[in-house]
Amino acid sequence: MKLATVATWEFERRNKLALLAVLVLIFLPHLSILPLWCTLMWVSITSLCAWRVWRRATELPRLVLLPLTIAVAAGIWIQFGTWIGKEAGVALLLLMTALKLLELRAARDIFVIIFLGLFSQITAFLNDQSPLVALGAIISTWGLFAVLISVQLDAAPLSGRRRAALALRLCAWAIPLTAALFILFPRASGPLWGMPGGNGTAATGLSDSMSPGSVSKLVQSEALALRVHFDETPPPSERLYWRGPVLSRFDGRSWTPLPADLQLPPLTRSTATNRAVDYEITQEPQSQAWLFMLEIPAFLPAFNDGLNPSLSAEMTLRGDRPLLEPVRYRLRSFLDYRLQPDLRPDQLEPWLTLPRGYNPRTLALAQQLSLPLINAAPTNGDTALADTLEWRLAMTVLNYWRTEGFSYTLTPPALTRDSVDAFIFDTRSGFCEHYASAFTVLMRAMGVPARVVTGYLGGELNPLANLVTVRQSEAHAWSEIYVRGWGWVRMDPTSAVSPDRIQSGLDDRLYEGRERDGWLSRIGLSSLRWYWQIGQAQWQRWVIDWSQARQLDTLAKLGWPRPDIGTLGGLLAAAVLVMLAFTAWPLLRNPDTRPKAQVLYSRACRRLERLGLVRSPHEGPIVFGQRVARSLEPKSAHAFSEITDYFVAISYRQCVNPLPLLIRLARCVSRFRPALV
Amino acid sequence: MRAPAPDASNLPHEGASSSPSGGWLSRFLGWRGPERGSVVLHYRRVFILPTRYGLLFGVALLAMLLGAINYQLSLGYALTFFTASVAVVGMLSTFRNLAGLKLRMIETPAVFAGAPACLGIALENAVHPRTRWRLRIAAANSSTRHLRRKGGLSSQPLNDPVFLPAFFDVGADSPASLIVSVPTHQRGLMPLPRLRIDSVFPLGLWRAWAYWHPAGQVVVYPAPEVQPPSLPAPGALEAEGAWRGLGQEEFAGLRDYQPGDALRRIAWRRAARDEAGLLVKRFDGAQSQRLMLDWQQLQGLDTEARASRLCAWILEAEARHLQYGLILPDRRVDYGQGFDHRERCLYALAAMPHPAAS
Repeated sequence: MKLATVATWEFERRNKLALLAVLVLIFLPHLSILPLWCTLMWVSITSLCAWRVWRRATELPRLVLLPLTIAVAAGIWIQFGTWIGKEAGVALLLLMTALKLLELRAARDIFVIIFLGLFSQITAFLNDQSPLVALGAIISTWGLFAVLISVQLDAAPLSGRRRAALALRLCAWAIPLTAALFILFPRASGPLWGMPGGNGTAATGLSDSMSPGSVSKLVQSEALALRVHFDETPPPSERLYWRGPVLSRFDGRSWTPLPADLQLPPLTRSTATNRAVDYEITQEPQSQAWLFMLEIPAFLPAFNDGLNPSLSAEMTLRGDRPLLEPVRYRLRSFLDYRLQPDLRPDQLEPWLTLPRGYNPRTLALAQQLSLPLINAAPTNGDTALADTLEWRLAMTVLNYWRTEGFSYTLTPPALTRDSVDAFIFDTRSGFCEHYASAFTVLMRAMGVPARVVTGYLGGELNPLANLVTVRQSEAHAWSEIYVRGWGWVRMDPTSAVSPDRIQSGLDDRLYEGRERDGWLSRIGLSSLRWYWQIGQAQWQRWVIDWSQARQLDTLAKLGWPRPDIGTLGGLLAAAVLVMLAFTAWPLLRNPDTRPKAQVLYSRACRRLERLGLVRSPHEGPIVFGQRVARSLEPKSAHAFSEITDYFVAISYRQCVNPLPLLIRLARCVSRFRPALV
Repeated sequence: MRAPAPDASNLPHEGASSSPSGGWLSRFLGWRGPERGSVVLHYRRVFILPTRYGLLFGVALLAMLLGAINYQLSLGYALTFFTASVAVVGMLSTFRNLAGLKLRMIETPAVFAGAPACLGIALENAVHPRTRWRLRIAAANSSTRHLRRKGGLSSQPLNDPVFLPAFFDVGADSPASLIVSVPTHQRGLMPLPRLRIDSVFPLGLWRAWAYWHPAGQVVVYPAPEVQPPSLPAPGALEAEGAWRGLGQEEFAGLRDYQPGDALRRIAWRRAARDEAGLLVKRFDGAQSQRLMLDWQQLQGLDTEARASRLCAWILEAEARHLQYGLILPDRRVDYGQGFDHRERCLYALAAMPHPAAS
């Protein structure tokens, strides 16, 4: 028996310190989202614990721990008003784990903390499921299992590195089984219960209304909005208008969609089909139900997970519930189109109304600008777009922007009650939403049906994979005017002021010193960033978005006839069995490492045993052979003596090359069928 | 210290013991009764179940899975599956920690009743060289049961270090030998207990165990009476004065050595001089100091008390270098002296049937 040479407590101390280190790693992803006092509390409790373990102090008495626990629970209640739910639950879990660290008495406490640590990692995924977080989770899971093993080993003579290596080997063996479970485990298609705290701060995106400042707030965010895979080379970025909510009702300050119960003319379109673009969009979670699309779609996208999309009369696409998880859909869009070219003037009423008593100076300006054009000769029906009255009115307004010293800024001054008046006549500097809003109001005042469209413009093209990445910072607002005979025509009033915005995305100066491409492009490695993007897209596609629909879809593509959830279950069971066998075999295999001659000889002896001729432990092979020879009939006696000779020769005589003898022995043993006299 | 060879009839016969209960369940579970020689823990002999912490771990896994499902966290699924897979691999690992181990009983020295019997056991790898960490072995019925609740961790102090097993490791190619303490309560030929060997390594979430019932017995001598009355007079009825001869023996010649003779009575100088063999000095007066310890003369005591007293007397007589013998209801040990003689007498006492059995 090996004696334990290192004291148990020394290993206990090491285990505790390792456990602390792993817990810090687990906590890191939560650092940014918890309230400050929680973070500070966690840091102080953990450092206190580390210090106490380091100094080998005894545990804190319950008298100290209990009030501390109550204080933490009360603090969380005051902060969140609940103990369950996403944020409060995470805060409670982390702080209680930290407090548990202070009373590490027995091995049981270590087990409990390890289990809590495993669970805490799940909560980290609520905010971020990036590969980096996944890597961190793998490392900390390994660390937790290493501590678990080390606790079991206690004072066994095995270094910390060997203990970690044991855990690593265990983790490596678990990979095939993990893969089988991950791929085939039937995924649920909806939440089991409501998602408390799921909406609100977590999801960003375009909202249902537009008031001055709402888009520019979004533009500060580098968060991902859309990822678009084009089947072929995508159109240039100034043509990538990702259409989102259409806002047609103006209350003097903010724009909102038309009420749902309003009767609108049916959606008709005559589309010039000379240019169709096929693409697949992955849309990040949004707090709204809007689905984005490139200009005008050719068909409704199909969703497997019951998100029934509907196309409104204003050509907007939305699902029937907020998109709290990423959605993916394929679309075909037309970049050259005519949208509802045959509407009657009375049907256009909703897009002409303006609130009474607001922006009087703007209305006057509209009169002033439109007067010379309206008095000119009226155009006949079949003219080019550029010759239509509506188009020329729009151009007048855009010229006004250009000539009257309007400027483009992310940080516009605050506006008064008549926001459009204030913008046009006082501040004259603003962001796309100011321009779209003012333009639309002016057009309506001139009698041209107009509306505001919000969405994203452009995106970053990754030429390696025809992948366009659209971020929240690409949020944009533009206008549509109705041109008789041509239908709805897109006008981007911002372009008159800042053509750069349209062509190359946001001006770098607007980023206030933030670097768009970062250090990678500075050292000439921007292609590395493209690869990283592709990797992220694939990660999103194959890991994060792996859903039941994708499971079944992939199975069907592999040729499985009509797969359903039962198929998944059956395949999973089969795969787990195979994987278990695959994993168990090398672990349990016990190869016969005896010399080959020994194996053959004992096989012959076993046949003799069936006849009652058992070799006693003290009997050597020669003596046994002589004894057996007396009871066997001559032929098998001779055969066995031959076997004995070969066995003795191979095992006890030094022969240079035993292989020929071994072969002969094997042949004799295979033919050996002993019989008694 | 080695027990005298027990009678062959006391050992369970191998053929008879191969199926003690004979039911299919016990055959399935591998309860094969006492086994002779070395035993390899084949896979079918090793059982495995989750520990208390294993069950708790299962609950934690379930919570993780529910969280992943509810919040549609793909990585949550992945982490849950990874953790579960590590636990499954840990199960195989725990199983492997026991399977393929070769156990052998080295020695079962005789003890006095009440003292722990110390069974010497050797453990090694049957075939595949593999380090086995943190094994425990103990008598199956007694002491492992309440230890199990501690989850296989020795961080808590063990209150009874004699009977509670400590952990040991078996090296890849270095056999381990250790001593298993088994409490003894009663004089007799105690069959070896069924031993239980178990391990929770590496994760502590699973416990693998196997039973091994070695054939054989421990000879348990009666516990010597604490303050026994003085030895009976030699020859039982001889005069008190005969005792004075003690230690005043006179040299009376030499005789051939017999096994069991005291070493200090051997005529070493003579033995060094010629090669005739060992001779033993014979002393006169021993005739009168022969002491026969007779069961029948201890009236008024029950069987165990008699055995205890006889045991104490034997020890004292041996200490005084008397020639002594023993008469029991079922056997008689003739006069003699020396360590082996003492053991013979004590064995006779131990092997005497219990009154309840007879």
